[in-house]
Amino acid sequence: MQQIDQDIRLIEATMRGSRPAFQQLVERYQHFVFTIAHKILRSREEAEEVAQDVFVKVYKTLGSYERKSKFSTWLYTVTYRTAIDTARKKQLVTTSVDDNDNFLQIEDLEDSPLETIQHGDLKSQLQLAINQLRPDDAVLITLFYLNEKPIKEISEITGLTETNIKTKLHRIREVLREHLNTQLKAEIQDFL
Amino acid sequence: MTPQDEQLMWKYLDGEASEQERTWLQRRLTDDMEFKAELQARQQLQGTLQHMEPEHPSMRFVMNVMDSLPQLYKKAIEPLVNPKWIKLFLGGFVIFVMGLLGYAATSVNTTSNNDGIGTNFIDRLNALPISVFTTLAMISFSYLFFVILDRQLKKRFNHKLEQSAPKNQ
Repeated sequence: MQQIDQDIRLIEATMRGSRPAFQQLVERYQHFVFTIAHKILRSREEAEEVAQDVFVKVYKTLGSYERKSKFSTWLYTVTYRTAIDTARKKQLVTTSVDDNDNFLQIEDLEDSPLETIQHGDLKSQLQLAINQLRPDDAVLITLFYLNEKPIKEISEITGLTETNIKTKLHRIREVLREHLNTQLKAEIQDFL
Repeated sequence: MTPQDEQLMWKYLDGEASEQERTWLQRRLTDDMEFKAELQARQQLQGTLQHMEPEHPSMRFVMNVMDSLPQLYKKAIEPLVNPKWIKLFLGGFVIFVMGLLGYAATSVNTTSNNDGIGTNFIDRLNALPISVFTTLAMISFSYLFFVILDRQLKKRFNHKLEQSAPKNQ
């Protein structure tokens, strides 16, 4: 609640002409905006470009923010749509787990899967598995866990129904678990 | 493990299971060791997912964003003289002038001289001490000076703000 009030105060200060107030908003949300864009675009450079565009767009349209939802929800909605539009223009695959069962993709990964697995860390293995999900699904998991957004707000951001999100989350997590199990078994076999 | 079991486990871990579902699940956990192991595996995944950290953009990201912002919202400059004081002064000034004229006009009724109304009125005004007119004139000029100064400074600050705004829009 305190963060929401702070956001509102910073927005009002920005609209009164304070640039440092908007800088505080950028500093506060840069990581989440960048993470969402990166999950969809899978390239750091493009994600950073889109994240920058998002903040400029939000700055220009601050007057149209009606405060019906949280500022973060509005910001992530703009991020999600801008990143999806950019991905479509670049013809990246953004369809979801429901469209195709074989949704784990290996292409376009910046980090070598082998390198990540060699760290032997469950966290990095999981990160790798999430990066292999289709962009829509990776964003759902990111919003649900990283940004700790309730299903209702995720629905607002992505335009998907709450039931659809719940079903997708369940299936994505099951796939992640199976993927991690397979990786773990392969590692044990390699070790033996 | 049925898909319904999996779904229930995630509902339970997300804290969305009903009282009835929780009771059923607790009972199953004590009876079925395989079910318990499956739930623990999901619990571990849930815990790892909850401790994920966001990715970081480059160090210059914030500066890049700030440099590319257009100048949209002008900083509101407070007027040099508070408008409330200007209004108050204006009101007082008008009342003062009206009072002065009223004072002079009373001579029309009280005078015994029959030289004419106009002459009496002007005589009465002339009879007022010179300091009253000097003070009145000084107050009026000060007022005008402050109002003009206020407008000029406002223009200058606005011009400076526009010049300091980044050019890349």
